[in-house]
Amino acid sequence: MLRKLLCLFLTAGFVVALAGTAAAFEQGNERKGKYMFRKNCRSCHTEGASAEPLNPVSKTQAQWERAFQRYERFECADQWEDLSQSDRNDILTYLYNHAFDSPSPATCE
Amino acid sequence: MQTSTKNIFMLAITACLVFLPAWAAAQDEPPAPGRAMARQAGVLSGDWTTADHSEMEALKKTFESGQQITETCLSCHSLADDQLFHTIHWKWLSPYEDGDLVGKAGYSINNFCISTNKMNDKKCSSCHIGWNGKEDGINCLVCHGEKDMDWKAQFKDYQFFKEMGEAELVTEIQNDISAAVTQIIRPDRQNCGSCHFNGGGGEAVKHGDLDASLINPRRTLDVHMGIDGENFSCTRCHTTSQHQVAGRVYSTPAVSERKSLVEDDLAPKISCESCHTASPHKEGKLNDHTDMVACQSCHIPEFARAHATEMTWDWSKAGKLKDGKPYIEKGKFGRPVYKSIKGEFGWEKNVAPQYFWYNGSVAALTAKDVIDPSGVVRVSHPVGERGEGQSRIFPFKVHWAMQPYDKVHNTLITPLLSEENNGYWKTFDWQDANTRGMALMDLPYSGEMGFVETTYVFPTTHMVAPKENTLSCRACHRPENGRLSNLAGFYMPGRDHFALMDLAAWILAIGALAAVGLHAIGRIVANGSRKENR
Repeated sequence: MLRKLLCLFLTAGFVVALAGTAAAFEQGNERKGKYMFRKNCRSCHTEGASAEPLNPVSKTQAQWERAFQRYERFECADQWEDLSQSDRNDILTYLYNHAFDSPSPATCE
Repeated sequence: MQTSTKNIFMLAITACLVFLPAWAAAQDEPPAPGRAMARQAGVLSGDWTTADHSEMEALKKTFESGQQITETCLSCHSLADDQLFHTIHWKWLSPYEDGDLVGKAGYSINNFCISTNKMNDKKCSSCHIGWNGKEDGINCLVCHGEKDMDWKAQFKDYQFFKEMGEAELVTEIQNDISAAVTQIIRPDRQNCGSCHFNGGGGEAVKHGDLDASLINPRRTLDVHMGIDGENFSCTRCHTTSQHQVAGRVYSTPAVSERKSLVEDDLAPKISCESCHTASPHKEGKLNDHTDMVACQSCHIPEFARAHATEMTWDWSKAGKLKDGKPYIEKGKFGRPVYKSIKGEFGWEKNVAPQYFWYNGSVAALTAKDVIDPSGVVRVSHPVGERGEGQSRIFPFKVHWAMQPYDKVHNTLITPLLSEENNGYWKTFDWQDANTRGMALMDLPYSGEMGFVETTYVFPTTHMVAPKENTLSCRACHRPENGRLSNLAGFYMPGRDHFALMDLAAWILAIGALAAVGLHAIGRIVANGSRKENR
């Protein structure tokens, strides 16, 4: 009985741990996200422009997620608002999948 | 009472009438001759054109590739491609030397990213004015497009979304392309700057006097380009004929003859004298300098006055990883001081230039030249010496580096770097990068690599300060720590003195004073007796 209970706890523990590493958002269209990122974000977030240069590898997956959950605090919150929820989700998908700690980190071309 | 008010009023009016013209006259004080000449030469032409490209039928179509755009441009501008194929902007080879030795596409090297491996390194080609290096023809819009556009990504996205059937995005991208091909301009600061402000792999890396701060500079940063001043575009001085842009220095001077526009109205406006003449100052003493000292030496007191510029690059430190991954460390100017892929960097702002005699040419090593690794290797250095006709004292940025060399052949190595080429930036394997890099140049590599100290020079000629910020006489004419203290072989007042001559002069001066004094005393003493004698 004790053994069964232990097994159950361990399994439950694994499931929780696995869920923690997976994205807390639904994956969108990564390719579209890449385009939207280039079009909407990179115009300012690039070297020599008005804002800090940003690439997918500039942040970790967790940092990107946090940024997208609380974008209201950014100076360019208005531009974020202009995008639809699904656009934002596509951009996050692109950045998340190529973040610094992702399996395939990427900079923009 | 009334009369006194009237009197005061009259007095005030009289005062105004007397003093105002005097004040106005003071304001109308004539400018220095050089300034007056330049104003005459530079009557504002305005940005006028006889063609509105947004009305052109040929441009009202769907463009699916870069070549289609260029074909359309050439359907009217039919001589442009042939003109351009002869320029260094296309060839990346010096037009003044035969063969493929000198130039980015040849064997020329620097102490930044070292070499383009004969244009095989894909990252370097991002600055070439073609659609895809030299492969797919000229991209006219690099220089003539008003809109900044990532064309490669744009066409890639267009194709992708077209295949996916994303009609809305396809239209959106095509509208962007359409807008870009119809907004045609003469090259402006951001066009030239897209490459020349970002040389060496980043903004303000290569040149100390050319960086993104010149896209919208204040007059205090550059009197000519300042948006609150003359607001010149680059082509105002880099005059262009048949797509040949004046002003390239390095192996040959920017101009062979220093002519002013008064002497030849079709001379390129590239040297200061072109507009300001060789006697630009009101004070004659200052004009006495112009045959020995370049205008830039006094009028550009420091470079990198807005953005910090890279001054040192140590390749020998490259390759360190954190948790098995490459990393970047930023320093006080917000610029990288360490990059795993490139090594260690030093940045500086408001840098006082170094001064050398310079006849307008820079001598440079190529990957074929044998070096002496026991000292600092001058990858490039200014040519000229005092007394030689065209040579003047000129300000330079000197970039220091530690870079790889072949210990057996004593030549500088040209490693293949780009990620796209599976170069050092991806593999962190010097041996592989060197072997493949040298093979692309058809040069031998022994397999034994060392690092050697090198310097590379840039003439400083942009970021001309307003006259009130020019160097004072004392910056150079001082006994110690003057700007020109490293230039030997000539006598400069205020800096140099000979002890013996100084001593002789003092003896003469004091002796003369003593003689006059003694004589005077003698006269006073003798005065009375002389009267008696009469």
